[in-house]
Amino acid sequence: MISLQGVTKSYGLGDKQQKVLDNISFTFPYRQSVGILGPNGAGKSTLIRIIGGAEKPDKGRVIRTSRLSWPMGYSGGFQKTLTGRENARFVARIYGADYHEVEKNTIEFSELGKYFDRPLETYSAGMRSRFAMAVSYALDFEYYLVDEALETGDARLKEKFRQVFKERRMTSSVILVSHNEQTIRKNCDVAAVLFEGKLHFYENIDDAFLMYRKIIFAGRAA
Amino acid sequence: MATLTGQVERDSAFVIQCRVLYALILRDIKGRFGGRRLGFMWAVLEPCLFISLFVLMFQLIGRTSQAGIEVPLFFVTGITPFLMFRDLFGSIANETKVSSPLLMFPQVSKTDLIFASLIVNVLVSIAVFILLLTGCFAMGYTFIIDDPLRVLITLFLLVALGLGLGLVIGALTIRYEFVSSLSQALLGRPLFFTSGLFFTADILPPKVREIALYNPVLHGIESIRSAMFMSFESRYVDLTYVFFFAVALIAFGLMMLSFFDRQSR
Repeated sequence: MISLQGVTKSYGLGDKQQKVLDNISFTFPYRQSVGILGPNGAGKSTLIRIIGGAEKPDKGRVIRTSRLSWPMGYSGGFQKTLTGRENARFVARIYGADYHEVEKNTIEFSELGKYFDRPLETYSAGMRSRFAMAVSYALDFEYYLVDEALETGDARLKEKFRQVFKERRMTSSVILVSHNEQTIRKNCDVAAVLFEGKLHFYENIDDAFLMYRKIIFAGRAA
Repeated sequence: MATLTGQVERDSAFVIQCRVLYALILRDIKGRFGGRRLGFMWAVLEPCLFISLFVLMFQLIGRTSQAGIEVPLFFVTGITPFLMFRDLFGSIANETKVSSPLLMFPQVSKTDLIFASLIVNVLVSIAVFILLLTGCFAMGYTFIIDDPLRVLITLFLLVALGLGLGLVIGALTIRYEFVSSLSQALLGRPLFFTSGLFFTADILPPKVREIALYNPVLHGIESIRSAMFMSFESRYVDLTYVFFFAVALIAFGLMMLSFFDRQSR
């Protein structure tokens, strides 16, 4: 289970303090794909960081009893002086996964060939993001954290990863944040809107879009 | 493609933490010392350079022993433990102040990063210490360790001091950035010259000694030398003082960390 309990987070100090997340309680449904919509600056990335434990909430807590991924495709956690294989093993170790299997899957997904045994600092930007995405898919999680800004790769690889993602969606849960309706429609079963620190949940995706559009237009009018 | 079964075993928090620590330690060691990296070479070379320099200086003024300890051994037992303390406090402060990208992995916490850094630093420092003592032995500066248990206890206390100071400096740096550079100016160099690396408390004038003995690291270095050599026994060591100093620093550091870490940025 992944559950937020009274999560509150503010940024800034004194008078300029702004509540980004305001007493949010929410349990992410099992084996469902939840899309979280929010305009830019609504606190989507903060929410992802808090769910994943990269940041602590000011108040409340996050319960993680399921195998949760790090944000898919995020490569910041890798050590550049180490090879792709060594980095893949590191990830396998912290998740207690069989590292032969993780290595094998990473090689297959990333198509890095001999570069798999070279330090990450020798990779191009494209190769690095390919590697990060491949490692993310090399393990199986119960919950996948996705920040849409992280989608990368050429058209063919994108299609390949999209295919894998579709398969995983059937057996796992997904938490995806985005400001893009299309991304949510394609990948999610239910949706929530993050607005003014609150998370509004909708069983029906279209209802979420309705509210989201209202916010966007109200923002433009003002 | 390999089988990706949905079956997941639940591990206890303790098992997960051990796994994470093990992975972080391996990663750290490989990153620092693996391949063509000169990490370990430098870890040995730095104290060697310092020690050679001071041994040479003492030789020029015709000194062969200090407080009943042969000069090379005197410096090895002063400089190496001090560098352990200094490097440890630096790494811990660094680990404490930054928001590492590794925190993006849900099971990795700041505590894990701090612990892993502590373990790697201590392992390396102890290895260097043993290596240098063996080197002295091989060059004919023989000795019998007087009180091995006390050596271990003192090293442990120096580690605790390094951890505590690192936590305090690191946690304060999260909120007040100038603390980091201030600590280098006010702590790094001054401690190097006042922690008994080049002298013993006994040779200081009484008034100076009284003040110098507020520095817990001086107690540590004096204690190491007393424990190592039968020919030297400091009258001024108070390990209880060091212990409480370290405990206070660690407690204060942890408090500050939990306070500032929530409100960072």
